[in-house]
Amino acid sequence: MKKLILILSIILTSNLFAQLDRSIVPDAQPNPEIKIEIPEPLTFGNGLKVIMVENHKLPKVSFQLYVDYPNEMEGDIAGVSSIFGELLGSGTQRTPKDVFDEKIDYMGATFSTYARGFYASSLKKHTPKLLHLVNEVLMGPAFPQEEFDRIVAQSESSLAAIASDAGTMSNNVSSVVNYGANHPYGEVMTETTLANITLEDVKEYHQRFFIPNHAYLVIVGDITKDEVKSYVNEYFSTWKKGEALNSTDFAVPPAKGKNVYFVNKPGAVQSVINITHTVELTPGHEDEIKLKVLNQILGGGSFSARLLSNLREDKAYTYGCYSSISSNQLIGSFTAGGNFRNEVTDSAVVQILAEIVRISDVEVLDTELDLVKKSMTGAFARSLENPQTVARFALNTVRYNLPSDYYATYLQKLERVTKQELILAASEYLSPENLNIVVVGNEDIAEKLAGFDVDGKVAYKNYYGEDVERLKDVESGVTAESIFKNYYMKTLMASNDEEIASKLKAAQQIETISKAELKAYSATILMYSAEAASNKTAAYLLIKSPMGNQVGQKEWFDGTQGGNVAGPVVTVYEGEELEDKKKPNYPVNQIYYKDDATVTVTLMGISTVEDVDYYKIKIVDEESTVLEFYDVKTGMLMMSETYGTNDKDEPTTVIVKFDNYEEYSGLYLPKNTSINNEGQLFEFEVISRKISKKIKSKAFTGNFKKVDKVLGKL
Amino acid sequence: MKIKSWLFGIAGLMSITVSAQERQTLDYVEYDLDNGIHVILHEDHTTPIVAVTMMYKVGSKNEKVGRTGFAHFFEHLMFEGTTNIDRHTYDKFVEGAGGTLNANTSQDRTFYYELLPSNQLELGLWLESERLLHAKVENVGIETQREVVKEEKRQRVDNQPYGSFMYEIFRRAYKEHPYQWTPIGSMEDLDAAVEEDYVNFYRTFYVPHNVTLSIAGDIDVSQAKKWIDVYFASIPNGDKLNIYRDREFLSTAAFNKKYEGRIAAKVLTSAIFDNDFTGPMTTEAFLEKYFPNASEKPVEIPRPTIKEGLLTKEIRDTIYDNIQLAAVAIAYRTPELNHKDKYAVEMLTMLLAQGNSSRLVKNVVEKEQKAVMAVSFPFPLEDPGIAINLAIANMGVDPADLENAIEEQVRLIQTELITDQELEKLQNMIESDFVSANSTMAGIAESLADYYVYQGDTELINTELDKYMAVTKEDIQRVAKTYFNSNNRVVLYYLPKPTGE
Repeated sequence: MKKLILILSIILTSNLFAQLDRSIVPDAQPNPEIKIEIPEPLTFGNGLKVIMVENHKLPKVSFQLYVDYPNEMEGDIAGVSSIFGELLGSGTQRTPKDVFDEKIDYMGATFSTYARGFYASSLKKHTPKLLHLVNEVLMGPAFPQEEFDRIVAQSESSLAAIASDAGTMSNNVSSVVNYGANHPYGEVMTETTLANITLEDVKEYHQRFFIPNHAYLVIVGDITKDEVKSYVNEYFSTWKKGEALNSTDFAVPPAKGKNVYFVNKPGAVQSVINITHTVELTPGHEDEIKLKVLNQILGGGSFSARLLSNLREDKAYTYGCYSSISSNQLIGSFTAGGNFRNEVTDSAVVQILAEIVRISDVEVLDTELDLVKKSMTGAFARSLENPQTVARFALNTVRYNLPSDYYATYLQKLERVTKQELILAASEYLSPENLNIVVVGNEDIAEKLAGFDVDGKVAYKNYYGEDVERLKDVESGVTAESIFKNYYMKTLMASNDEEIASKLKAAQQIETISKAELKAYSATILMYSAEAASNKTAAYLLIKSPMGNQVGQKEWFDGTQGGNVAGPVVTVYEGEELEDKKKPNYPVNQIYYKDDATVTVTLMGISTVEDVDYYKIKIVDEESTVLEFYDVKTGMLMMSETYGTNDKDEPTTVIVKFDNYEEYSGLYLPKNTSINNEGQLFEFEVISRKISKKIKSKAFTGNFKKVDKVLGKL
Repeated sequence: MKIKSWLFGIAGLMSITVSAQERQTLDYVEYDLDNGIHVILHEDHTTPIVAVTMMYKVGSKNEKVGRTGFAHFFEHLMFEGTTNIDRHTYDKFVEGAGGTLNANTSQDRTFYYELLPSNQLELGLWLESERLLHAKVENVGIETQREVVKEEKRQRVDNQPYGSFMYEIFRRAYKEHPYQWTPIGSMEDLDAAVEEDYVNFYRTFYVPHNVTLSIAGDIDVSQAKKWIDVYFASIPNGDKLNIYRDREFLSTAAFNKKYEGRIAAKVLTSAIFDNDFTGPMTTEAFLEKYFPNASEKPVEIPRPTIKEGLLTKEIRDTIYDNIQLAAVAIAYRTPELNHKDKYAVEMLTMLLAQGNSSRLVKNVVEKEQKAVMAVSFPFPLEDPGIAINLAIANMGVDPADLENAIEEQVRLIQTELITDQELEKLQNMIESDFVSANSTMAGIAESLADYYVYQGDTELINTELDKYMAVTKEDIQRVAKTYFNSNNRVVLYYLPKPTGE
């Protein structure tokens, strides 16, 4: 009997623990049924297609308008769509902005606009009032000038702020390099394009694109079909149809090899890496689900995805590293990357590239595929909690012309994906050898990335994706003034201030005759130029050709007056031009900049061109911007680039290069000067040079008789 | 005149009645397990999913000086595994079940959640019970997550324009209270954490009476309760929980040394004990055999007792950051979350910056164009918190100008009562926000836990709207005067770092 009790108690005890074996993973209950009904769109008289998802859980209704007009280039007004999108919400012709805002807020409603439409949402009880305002927006936005001006001004600030936002910098540059200059997705709004946008442009944009026959209205919430019909009739049917727009094809530049792009963000403690290329994948394409599975294994949001597991959980390079493969009607894209501390930036690139290669070359594991399928199935089911998901499915179905059961059979399609299909899809869509590596970060790490580039070179970009030159820091103590002074002394071949003074006394006038061959015209240009202390200048051009001699151009200034003759046009200096001429400039004008309040001089840094280092100095006055390049070793001016405007206010560029400095009677001057004027190249070489103690040339007064004679004999 | 206003009153009453009718009550059950775990269950069969959440009442305010950032760091480690879950597999259980998981840490609490298909509720309970009972942290995990957390800080704070503003405000707004640091902590402190810290932290704060298990979704309440009993009610507390964890994590030698006074030496050195300790015997059976009388009395959890009241003198400073546009942040000390003025303060911040017609947006951003954006938000905490007005200056605008423009709006509220129309606007906004707030199961589970943990009143999920509706125009003016005054604030200018630095 006693024994029996003991056995009983043991059974009881073990029973108690039996239900508590914590090492056993609980089994799932039977799978819940996932119901999904995709509503059919209703089309109204003006072409507006309406999608409604009834959901009576909360007393709320939302209206999302999406105008699906085809993409077009915005060109020199890139950004006009975004300005339009903002201005669309700035009041209507019947209700000024302040009153409009007040009315929206009073209902506790949400109303936000963007280039392709708006999102409006409120409690059900406010729906009619909200739609009344929405109708006013459809029938006639106010487009007030002062709001336009404000939005432009704020956009200027926002553009300036991009410099501190690594994510936007990365997005901009990625778009530019992926899609190129001839694709709407490669366009980025800049200060220049923003400045070009006018209110008229915005109105035209509205007129042309904001039309119901390209639009979808998505209604979600506590509303019935009858209510939808009557609301649409009352508030949306008066919206006038426009001229339907055709879509255009755009080409993207093919990626050739791996290309490294770097954007400098001073002070960055992390690098934003984006490894990316375009993908030809349209929404609903049969490969899309496979690629979603592939991406989920490579760099989806879960901890077990390869990128996160390798770069975060194993190597601790980052807080997050993800990839994406997205479809798009024009062109899709692949991206992979994240934020990484400076020291591991190059290591992170190595690992990400390796993961892209691995998933392209080696079949995924069964366990990985199984895990991802389960996780994606769950995510799909969870997404249905939000009624906006079903609405999105319905919108996609009609927009992309998907089979009506595309989403209803989504999970079956997902289940059928095999690892063999994944490797095929990877080889077709991923291009591990041809891609763009975009890194935004501290410039210290930039050159470490050169090895990844097909040409071994890092292409530096600004945050709009425009090319920038990489400058090195100048050594301490070097200033623009010291560079100018050094150049001046070298020119005078002087080693101290006393020598400068004596040299200037001995060499008050320089006369030069040089020659350039214009082979295309079988012509020779002979140029006489003269300069003298402290501001006298003269130049005379004679063109010799089989057709005879011809005077090209004359210019003179005697210190107080002057002028020029170019063909039939005679100019006598006066006003500002005269004052400008009066400024001292002998023998080099650089040394006078420091006393000239109208000139701003900036030493930008050291620019390296074909392994030669140059100090790069920017000189800005009211007329033009000049970039000058001084050889760091010799101190001599080697090149100047002048950016100005011509009479028609068009931008002009003149590039002058100096070479073969030689001694001419105690002065050190260039033998060769090449002038590139808007693509037209003149390469002058000095024939003779005369340095005089006295100023005696008559050319300064416009008398070129002697000069003409001398040149004519040559 | 009188009749008209009387009519107005009736109309107002009617609209309130209508909204009360429209409001749906959110049902839930709540109870305590014997070991102190608080349970809240909400049943909703709309979508076949369930949110399983655990809110531990521990955050950065429970950290010691020199260990800032520890609570959050610890949260990362709570994904490493348990006695029964190998390293790097905790998340795979969830993902393999078609779910997702994550966690976050604030000044006051740490919140873990799994969103699962509803047929996987039991899995979620098992996972969370494992985490509470015997989470396992290995050195390799500690070192990895230490770097990961530092990357998180770089990404969210150091490399983010204005990303340091919470850090900069809080370190000035508090002198004594641990709110003076933010949950992410400092790099040095993250580096300083040693093994003993993890053990102590887990034993002090990851205990049954410090957690609320909140579940919302497609569940059967009676079945859920049964499973909760199985996985959670059986978790010991107090001394017994410590012994439980020691049995699982200490070496035989370490265990013997620690318990040599409580178990006869003869027993400790016996082969049977050694076999029981290292062999397949469950920890429950081990406890039953060797510690049948171990106490389950919960150990009191140490919490900061300092309460820092209103500031008495303005604190003003300038921060140089990698930014292009200057910014102004003005932070005011506000009462603790449970204070009645919480509602008026929140409505004051909405009056200032919610919607295009709000005072700051309409005037400072749109009319005066001093800022590209302006926000105002309360940051209520369990102990006295702050409310922040923050604006980013338009290009070329002097931050002092911007500050004056913001201050002018605050001053207007202090000196002139807002209109009835404006009060109604705020009430309508709140009603709309309140209705929208509980639209997801994850959100509902968290709100229920929040109301219980912070305010001890779960029912606020249904009744809190009334507290907002009771706020008067005079209340808003009063809190503007009381809290948004110049002695009670920290003013920070954010300026671009001079180049060359």
